[in-house]
Amino acid sequence: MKFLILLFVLLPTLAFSKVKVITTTTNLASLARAIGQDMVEVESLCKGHQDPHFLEAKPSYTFKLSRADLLISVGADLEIGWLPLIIRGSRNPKLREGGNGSLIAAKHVQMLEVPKEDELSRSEGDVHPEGNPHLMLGPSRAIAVGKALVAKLSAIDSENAARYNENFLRFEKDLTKLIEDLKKKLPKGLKVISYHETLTYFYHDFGINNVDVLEPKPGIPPSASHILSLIKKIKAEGIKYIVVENYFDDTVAKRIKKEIPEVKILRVPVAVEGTKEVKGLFDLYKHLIKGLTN
Amino acid sequence: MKTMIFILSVLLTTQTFAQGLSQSSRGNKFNPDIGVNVLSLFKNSAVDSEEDGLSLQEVELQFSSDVDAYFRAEVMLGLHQEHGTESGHQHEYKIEPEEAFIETISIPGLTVKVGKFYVGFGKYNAFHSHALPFIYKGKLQETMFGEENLSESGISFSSLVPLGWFSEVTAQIVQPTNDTLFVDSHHQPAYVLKWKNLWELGDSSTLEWGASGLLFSAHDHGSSVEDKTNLLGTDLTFKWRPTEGGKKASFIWSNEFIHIDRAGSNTTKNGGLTSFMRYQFAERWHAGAQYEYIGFGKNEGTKDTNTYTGLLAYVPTEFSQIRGQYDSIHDGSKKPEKRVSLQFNISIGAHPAHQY
Repeated sequence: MKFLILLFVLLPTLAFSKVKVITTTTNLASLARAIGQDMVEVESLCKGHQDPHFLEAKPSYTFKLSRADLLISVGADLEIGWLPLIIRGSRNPKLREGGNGSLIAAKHVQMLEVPKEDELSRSEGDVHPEGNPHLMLGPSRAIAVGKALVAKLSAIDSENAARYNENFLRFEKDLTKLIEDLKKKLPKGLKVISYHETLTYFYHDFGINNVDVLEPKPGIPPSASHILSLIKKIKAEGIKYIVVENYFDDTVAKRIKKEIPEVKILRVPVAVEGTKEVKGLFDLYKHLIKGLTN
Repeated sequence: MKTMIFILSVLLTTQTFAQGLSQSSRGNKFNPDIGVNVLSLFKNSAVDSEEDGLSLQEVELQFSSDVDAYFRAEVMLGLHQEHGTESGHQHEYKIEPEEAFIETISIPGLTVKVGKFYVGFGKYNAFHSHALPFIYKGKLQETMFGEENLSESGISFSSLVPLGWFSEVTAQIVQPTNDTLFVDSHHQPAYVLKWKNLWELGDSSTLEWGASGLLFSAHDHGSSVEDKTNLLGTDLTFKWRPTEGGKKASFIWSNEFIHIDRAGSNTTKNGGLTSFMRYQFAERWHAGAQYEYIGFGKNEGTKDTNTYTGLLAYVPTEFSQIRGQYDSIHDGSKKPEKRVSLQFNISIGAHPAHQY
């Protein structure tokens, strides 16, 4: 009987002691699980097959943030259309930028595709002044964010600091090995065309050359003249793959395939849980390389 | 030597200039976020001819920024045309503060807001013109609050209720100036209470339910008449946007009911319901249909109003949209008002996140 009472008293405290982490994307959630393991409770607001640019500021997210200890976001304006409102609504000041419970991934990595001053215009489409925000698709960037996360989690839950660091070192070692292994599988100088500039960091880490994108400008659907110029380019450069992120439409890619039947269309997830088999970041990188080596 | 001095002087000036530029652009970081919404309108009505034709429906200037570590501020100025103004000039432009407030950002669990703001009553009073689901404010809102939103100076407290879902309570004390709702009183404030709840029905759908009340009573010195206003409202909104393919399809069904009971020097009793559906059928297209009925629990002699609205919208990006709308308004006049409108709505500059 005493044991039961003890259990009832202890169980809620045990559950309570977990660090409550909310992430904006499933890629960040996978990283948080890898480093936090059983010491954290992680939930992502954006699902794996949703475009994180265009989530809506649902009050239910506000409710989730109001109870969180840590909010991990990508930053670089990826979530600007919805996140500021739900942080404010959560009335949880530590989650504000600069607070103890805020980690913004873009602040901890070297950004790519940072537009020059004269390219900063809305006529250029969805331009991100701080650079391309899809940084978690580059495994080397994921490691850098992981390192920042260890510091953050250790500050919130100092008792487990050593374990967070241990988990991170294992994550770093395993991922570095995976990058090496996957690189070996890839043919040298592989050229592709993508729909949106989502996979920039992935291509950068693996030395893949993304020759062009189907969108003439970020967020602007392909135009007829742009498709014609791409068809010429694919033929001239012998490009084998058109990579279409699975939350974008593949109609245009199919139209190109009609013209050039030997080109392959790859519909790929760009986030963890973007398809059933992709359950974590490692699966995601493996899945992407597998598509490009088939 | 002369050339040397010349080159040096040119170089020095450019350097100072560059430095000045970078310093000023760093300084700009502290400027508030500025956004401008421009709503251009073409309207053709079978009844009301004065406002027909092409016009600038409204320009909204929006400024927002953190004030310091404790507060943030928001200012929204509205510029619009006044038809047949007192000065006798037709089509004069008028600029007025729609909202100008500061609110706390550092108190855990509580937001305190002070200034002039859209009163937290019901669902659609909080929407600025550019974010309204249709080209015009609904007839129900217009009947209850007049041509513009109910915006008053006051203080507001809001907090999340510790329940297992999103539940928010807002309590406001405001200085009543809206002449559709109140008599002029410099002494008595109006009290507003709102309870908003939202439940997730799976990952794709949500159900929102809210209840609001507004209470005002003033006893004028030297008069035995007590002026009272009781306003009650409730709203229910269902939203669906699938997690897969959510860029191309979504659906909203939203309903709002408001009843006014005004006693004293002005007695008004009336209630109304707005119900609309909006269906997004392609990435850049949506259609909407709205029905409004005003005439629940009304004074004797007040005529019913039935309004039917249809809308088709083309939305190229989140910064621009073109909307066409047809309204048929039956307000008891001999001939119903039928009107066709076309609106071009754009946003430039910083565009803060829209509420859900």
